[in-house]
Amino acid sequence: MTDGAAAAVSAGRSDSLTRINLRRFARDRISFVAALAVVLFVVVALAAPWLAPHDPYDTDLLRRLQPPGWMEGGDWSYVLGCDTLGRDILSRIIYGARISMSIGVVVVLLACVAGTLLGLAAGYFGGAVDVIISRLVDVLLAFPYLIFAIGLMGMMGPGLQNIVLALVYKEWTISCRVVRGETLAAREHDYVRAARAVGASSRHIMWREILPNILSPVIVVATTRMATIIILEASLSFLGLGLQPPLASWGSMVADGRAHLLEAWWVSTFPGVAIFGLVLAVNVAAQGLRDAFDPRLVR
Amino acid sequence: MNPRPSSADAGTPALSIRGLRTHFRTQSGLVKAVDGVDLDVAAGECLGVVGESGSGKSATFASVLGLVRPPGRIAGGSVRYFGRELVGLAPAEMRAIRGKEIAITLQDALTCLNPALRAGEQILETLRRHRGGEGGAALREEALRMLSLVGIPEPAARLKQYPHEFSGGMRQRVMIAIALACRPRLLIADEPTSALDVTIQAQVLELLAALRRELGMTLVLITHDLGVVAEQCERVAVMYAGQIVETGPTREVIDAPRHPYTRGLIASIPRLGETRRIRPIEGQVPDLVNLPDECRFLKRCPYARAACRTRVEMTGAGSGREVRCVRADELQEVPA
Amino acid sequence: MRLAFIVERLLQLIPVLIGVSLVVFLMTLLTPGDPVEIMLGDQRATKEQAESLRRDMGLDLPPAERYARFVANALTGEFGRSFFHRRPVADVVAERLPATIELTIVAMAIALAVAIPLGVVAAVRRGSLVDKAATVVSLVGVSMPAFWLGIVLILIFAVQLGWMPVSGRIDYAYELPRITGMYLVDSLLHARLDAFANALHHILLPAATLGLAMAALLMRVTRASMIEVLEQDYIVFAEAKGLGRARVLLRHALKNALIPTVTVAALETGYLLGGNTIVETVFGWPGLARVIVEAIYARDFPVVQAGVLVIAVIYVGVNLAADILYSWLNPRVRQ
Repeated sequence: MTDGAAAAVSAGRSDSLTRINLRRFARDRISFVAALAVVLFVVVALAAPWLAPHDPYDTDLLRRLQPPGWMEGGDWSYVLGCDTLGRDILSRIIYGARISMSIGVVVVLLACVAGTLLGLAAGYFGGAVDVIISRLVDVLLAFPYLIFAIGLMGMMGPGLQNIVLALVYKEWTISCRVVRGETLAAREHDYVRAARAVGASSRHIMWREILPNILSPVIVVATTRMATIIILEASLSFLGLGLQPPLASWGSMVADGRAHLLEAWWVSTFPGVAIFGLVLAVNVAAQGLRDAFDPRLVR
Repeated sequence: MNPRPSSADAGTPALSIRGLRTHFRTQSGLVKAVDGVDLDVAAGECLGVVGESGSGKSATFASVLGLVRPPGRIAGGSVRYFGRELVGLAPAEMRAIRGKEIAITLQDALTCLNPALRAGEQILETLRRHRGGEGGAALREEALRMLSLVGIPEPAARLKQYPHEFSGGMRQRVMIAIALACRPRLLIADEPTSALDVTIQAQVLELLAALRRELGMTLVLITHDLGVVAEQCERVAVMYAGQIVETGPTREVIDAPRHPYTRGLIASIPRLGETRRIRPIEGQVPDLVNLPDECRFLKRCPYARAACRTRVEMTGAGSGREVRCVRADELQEVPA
Repeated sequence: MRLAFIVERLLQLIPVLIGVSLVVFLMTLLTPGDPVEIMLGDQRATKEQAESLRRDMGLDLPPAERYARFVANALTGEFGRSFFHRRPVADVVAERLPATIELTIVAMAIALAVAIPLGVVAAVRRGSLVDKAATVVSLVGVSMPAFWLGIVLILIFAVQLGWMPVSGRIDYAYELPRITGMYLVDSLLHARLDAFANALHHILLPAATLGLAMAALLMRVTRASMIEVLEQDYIVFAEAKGLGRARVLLRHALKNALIPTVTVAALETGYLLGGNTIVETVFGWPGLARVIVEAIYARDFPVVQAGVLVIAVIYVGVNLAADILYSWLNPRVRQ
């Protein structure tokens, strides 16, 4: 018996598998720290108005391309320096966290919901429904991600809404495939046959019987995709296809600094560090979550 | 107690294991998979090694061939092959022995054969390794001869096929052919029949017996199936929780088992015509990490007494027989 | 037997290709507003000019007919005319495509060359310092956005150290008559090693940027697959035959372990193709992906359409090749 199960039994209560796995996750120190880092990012984003030292939109051409506090010509109150319009980089990074993370969460959420619904339908009903949905998934997957996204953005035009749509249009296929596979497998299980024998409706079976059992892989997929989506959004913004000023995502901040790489490297570098840091934390935490929930990895 | 008989006098034993200990370091602690095994295998005989999973039987013979990998290691003891010490042998010398002098076949032929390589390649590989000087054509001839020997029809065509194209029984034969390609003097067959249908089982055992006669080979048959042992093996060793608990001529051990575990094993075999209930052995195999200083079968033994709470050694129990039980003499009279 | 398999796969491609063309076509319908007006932009054009342009592009036809025209044209390589480049779109695509292909191939080569040895060593020496370091490197590689990595690499290697050129494919001094359009290939075909070296020097930084995330991913796949393979019974059996460690690794383990690596690499070529948009932009690499991005800025819709279609079709082809490669590596699939 695993330590967790044994401990639970000896404590006299029966712990759900999820609880046990979560405890395993907590014991993996590195992943746990990473998860805390992600939470930190979220907190920073939420508390932006109170945490940011300056107004992110406040331009002052006198401070244009001012170096970070520790360099000559820098000012410690604008600790990471200022960008091409004299705006405080640190404040912009803090506010940028809101954009980058909320887009990431919204896209993954919408895509997973859509993908799960369609995957359930495809897996459970089979036949024509499955063929149509699967063909659609195949066709969409035939496009490289960024190519598809920029093609869409190019046609639809820039903007927050369009970025989310462009990403969701491709992203749903990922969770759809996983859910379809799981549904196909679950459909043959006895508990589904039993429900059908009792006369339960298809909707009931899909919703109440199958869905709760396949949620776990969907969550794993969602957390894994989060990092990719954040990078994709940043890439689109970097290319100038994303948000429009004055809204700024970390990606567009990096793009802004490109023209001044030689004399003001900090304008591009620090927003990039933020992206890297968040994505790394998400990846490490997601990896730890995957390992903890993996039944094959016996501890 | 009877003193232990001296080791086999008629010639050097093919295999002579003394005090072998093999340990595995796991997250839950140090697992003593093999804990002080003494065993002799006479040249030319067929020895059966019986035990359930976790008894250490496979680990013992993996240790003989030096196939134990981290987190496992041989912690001590000696293994002599025709007098030659194998424990601590240099890797290059060990490799020269594997396949050529001592060969092993494993339980599931499907997983033992590389799915990406043709069968012929996998036989020729061994031949080239140990008889490299003989030239390609000669080796190919030998491979074909081996395949015929194990009863595979149309060997030339079979050489070119992939493992998944063979049936279960045939795969087992191929594995045997590979193992015997270089005419080893000792073959260790680890569960040769467990993955097979009953009818195929009989064929494979027949094959092994015939090969043994023809090649004059020593055979160690590791199995959990007493029936197989009863048919094929002159002597049997019973293992439990990393130790040998009983040895002796097969017929005698089966007719009159001395160790309570052996008795339990035999009692749990269904027999044609018997109407009494099958009595399984109660309880579970002990945790191999925290082994107290007592008889390891204590918790499941119907004859346990206070005297059993001590380290138990193997003692003689008649000609050629040994038992690891404090009450072996007393229990002789008790019916199974 | 194998031929039937290939033909079967080819036939399965057709509905996908149809779907791809449909999706690309539908994308254009998403454009808010009148495409002709957007394309003409500030240029003062008469109504007749606008009308004639509209007729040229077939915008006056019902959607179904437009689609049919689109597909028919695409099959003959006719993609219309680029406003921005003042040339047929097909010309623009043909001119810039080799640069993208070359960059993708070199990036993949770098990724494989780094990932496979690292993955094998990490698996064989599991739990050691090398293994842990490799895991860290792979996590870092996967988390780093390509555009930022490219910028940082430029800052370090081109600006600070001056070791690498900042942009471009080859120095102006070298004149290479065009055969394939891929400088590395052409320079070898012309037996001009100096040009080859120069082109290699230019492609290194962008290819490394593009390939890093790929290398990180492939390393993890190789390591995981190698670990799994090494635990297989046939490895133990091979050792039991007396074969040496090296032979066991190379002959028995590698062939099986590389199957997932190769399949993932082929599938993730899409990632490389998409990543070209970023890397070509950062490094000023004159490839097709960058042309698409520029066309978006310039509202040059025919180019965007053609570019997306071409790259998607290439990716479909790569997937087919991956399927065939997989069946060759894994004999069990062939039946």
